[in-house]
Amino acid sequence: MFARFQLQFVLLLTVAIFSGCTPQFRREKTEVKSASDVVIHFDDLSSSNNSEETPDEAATPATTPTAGNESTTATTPKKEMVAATTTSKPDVAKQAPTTTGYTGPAKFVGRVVVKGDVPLFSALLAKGAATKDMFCSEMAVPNETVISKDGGLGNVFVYMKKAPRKGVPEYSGEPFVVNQKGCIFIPHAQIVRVGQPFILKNSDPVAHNVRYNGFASQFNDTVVSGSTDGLTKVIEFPERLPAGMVCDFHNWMSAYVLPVDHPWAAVTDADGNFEITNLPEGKWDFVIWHEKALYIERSFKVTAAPNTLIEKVFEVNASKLSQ
Amino acid sequence: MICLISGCGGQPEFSHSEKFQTLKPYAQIYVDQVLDNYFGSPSDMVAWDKLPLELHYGQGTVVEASGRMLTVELQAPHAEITAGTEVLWDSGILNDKDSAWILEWDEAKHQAKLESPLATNPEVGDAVILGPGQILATGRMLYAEHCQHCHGVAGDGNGPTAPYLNPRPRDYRKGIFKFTTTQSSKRASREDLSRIVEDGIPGTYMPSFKLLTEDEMTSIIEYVMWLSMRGELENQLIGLLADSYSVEAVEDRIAGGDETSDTIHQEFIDAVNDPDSFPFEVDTIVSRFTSEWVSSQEPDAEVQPLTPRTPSSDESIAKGRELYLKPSLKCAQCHGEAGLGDGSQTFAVSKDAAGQDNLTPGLYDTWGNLVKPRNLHSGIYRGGRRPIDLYSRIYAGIKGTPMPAFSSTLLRKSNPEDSGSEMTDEDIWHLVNYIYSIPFEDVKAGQGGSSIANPVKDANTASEEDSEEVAVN
Ligand code: HEC
Ligand code: HEC
Repeated sequence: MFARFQLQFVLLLTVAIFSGCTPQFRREKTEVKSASDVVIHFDDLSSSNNSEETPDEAATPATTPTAGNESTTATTPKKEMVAATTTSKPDVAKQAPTTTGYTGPAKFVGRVVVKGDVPLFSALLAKGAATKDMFCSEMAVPNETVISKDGGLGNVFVYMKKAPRKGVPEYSGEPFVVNQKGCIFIPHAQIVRVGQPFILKNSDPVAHNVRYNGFASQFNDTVVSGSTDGLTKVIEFPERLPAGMVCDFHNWMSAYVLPVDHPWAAVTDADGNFEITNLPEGKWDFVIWHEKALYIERSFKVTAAPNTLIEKVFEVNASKLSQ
Repeated sequence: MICLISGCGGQPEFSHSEKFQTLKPYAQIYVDQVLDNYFGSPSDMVAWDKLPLELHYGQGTVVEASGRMLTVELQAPHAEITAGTEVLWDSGILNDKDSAWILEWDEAKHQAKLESPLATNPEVGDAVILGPGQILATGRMLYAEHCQHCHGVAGDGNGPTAPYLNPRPRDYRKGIFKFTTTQSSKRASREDLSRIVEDGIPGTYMPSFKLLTEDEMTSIIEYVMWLSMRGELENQLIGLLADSYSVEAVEDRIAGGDETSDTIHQEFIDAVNDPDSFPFEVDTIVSRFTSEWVSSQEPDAEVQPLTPRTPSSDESIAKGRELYLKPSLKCAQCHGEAGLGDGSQTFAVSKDAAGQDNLTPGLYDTWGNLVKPRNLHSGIYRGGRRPIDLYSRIYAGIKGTPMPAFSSTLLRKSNPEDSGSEMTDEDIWHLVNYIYSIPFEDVKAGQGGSSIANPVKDANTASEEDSEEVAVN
């Protein structure tokens, strides 16, 4: 790994070349910029008259079409500024009430529920449906949008957006297993710790592949049919959003995996409940995300201290699930 | 930077990635600043030492220096050093002073005669860079001349010729290359990239560039990797910022009620100025792909067959065919029972990266392009036709495409009854032998007996040296 502060010692050499016509090189000393010259700094909001439109005089994007006429470089309509100020409210952090009388390490618990008429989800593959691997439809492949009788939404990821710089417990748990059984990924939604061995199994008599499509890393491997030992993979990089996992042989098969570099993450159970324990003291941002509803919260603020219990019910509009 | 030669048309610019426009203007400016600081523009490039690339002709230390003579110890290997090469002082008392210029170079002694005598002599051990950034600059020239009209200035696969091509030129910005001889979890090696550039990609518009000198090839490959890193940083950074500072995210947040456009903007500015926030994230992104590129160059990243190629024979081909048709391997599901590239998966509706159904049924690659499984009768292999090429395609899959790695499925104990027996990869070789034989089959794969035109001879000749023999026929 590269030391964080290596950046400071990095040398930057600028090579100027003129292309588009005959190559020609500058016949002087190649310019050397020291790292301190390249620290990117933005002005304070207060020091710029219009926060939305002129963040930094030094920073004019090369593509600004209106270059040369400073008064027209605004790219955002004024309307938005107005809208923004009218919606501004007193500074109440978006926060769940904390329950008094709780003792123990800070805990964030809650539930995700669906609001409105729940659409009827048809099975992804009906029982007995004709498919090339008839084995797969011996049992219906259920729709993966899991909603309990009283509206709890399962398979929702709730996770701390960014791990604290210090004090993250090392991972030392068991490897985590994803099985492919009845042409379904089990579990469908799963958190993994970065570096945690991740065992892919296939209990089916047919072959599956597992194509993991993260933003930071990817893999695509076949998993032998009937494999009980499985194939061990390690995801080395965290993701900001759950990464999709598919089997290219059976198009309905999908799963989501979220590799994180901390333990403060959970997936809601079939009733929509989640629980995140042992939160470190501080103010943390949580993301709440579901494969159909997408962002339920982009950054939900949780203030954790010993003996606090943070409880919150999150509502999702049913219409967001039917897309 | 001012273009010294007037009348030579507009300067090329790196175009932005598609998602750039979704960001709030202040986030766009930040992305531009980061890229500009660490990579510069095509006409004023920045050679950033953090990138694991060979950017200079050579790097080393002073062994002896006085007057016009300079002897250096260079880290091997280095590019050809010629008259006119710049000597940049990288440490010691001459650091930050004007560069010296080489008049004559003695490669055997690593000794230079300089254009003018040194006013001050450097100390023994001072660091020097010979031809700073020159490899990148040469790469840029050659790229502009040979590659840019297809692959685009920014390596986004979107040059002016690109819209007319199928398959589309590769977009380097994901850091993913398809035809590699590295393990499934690794990136391309430099050798993989230079082999592609040297041989081209048969059956596509990617031409072969056989006339490039070794140094020119090095420059082009370093430049392609440099573009790939630049593009990956851009993509990853935009992805990171879009979470909270895309136009849509900001609207969402304002609708949430507790935040205003101003508080969000202030938060952004604070994050830019806080070394633990965005600067740290940028560093993390760069460190991640840097370490991936580095580890992909190491010997153990390479696909290495466990056993030498099983000689081709009727028996091996028959075994290969059996494996090919085996339901548990599924080659036929994509490539078709007859190997025509028309298996059932080419008719199935698949999902795109966002989980939505693709409009046209079939298989898609990571770039969102429809890809057809190869017609194995054509005898044309895009990633090369050496046995090791086909072996690697099967062993490690074709990266960025649905064709998966089969190593875990095809490596097995040499004696299935004895769990203590050694692992063997002969099944992969059987498949390779079978693939070589398909273009000569009279009957469709999986049907009838073997009526293959002299497969043994042909398949064996398909070696590195005389691969053309089979291609003709
Ligand atoms: C006429 C258009 C054209 C030109 C010129 C061209 N390429 Fe390509 N290149 C392509 C196409 C098309 C592909 C993708 C083929 C495919 O997907 O099978 C490609 C793919 C590649 C790849 C990806 C290989 C892989 O394993 O994924 C690299 C690297 C590459 N080109 C480098 C270059 C370089 C370097 C040059 C200039 C020396 C160049 N190309 C010139 C059209 C072009
Ligand atoms: C999930 C679908 C899928 C499966 C399964 C699959 N392939 Fe492929 N294969 C592809 C696709 C798609 C391509 C073309 C990729 C590209 O060029 O973008 C391809 C390309 C190839 C090529 C051409 C490589 C080259 O250099 O041009 C060979 C050979 C090949 N596959 C053999 C096999 C064999 C043998 C198996 C079974 C062990 C197999 N494939 C299984 C989808 C598949």
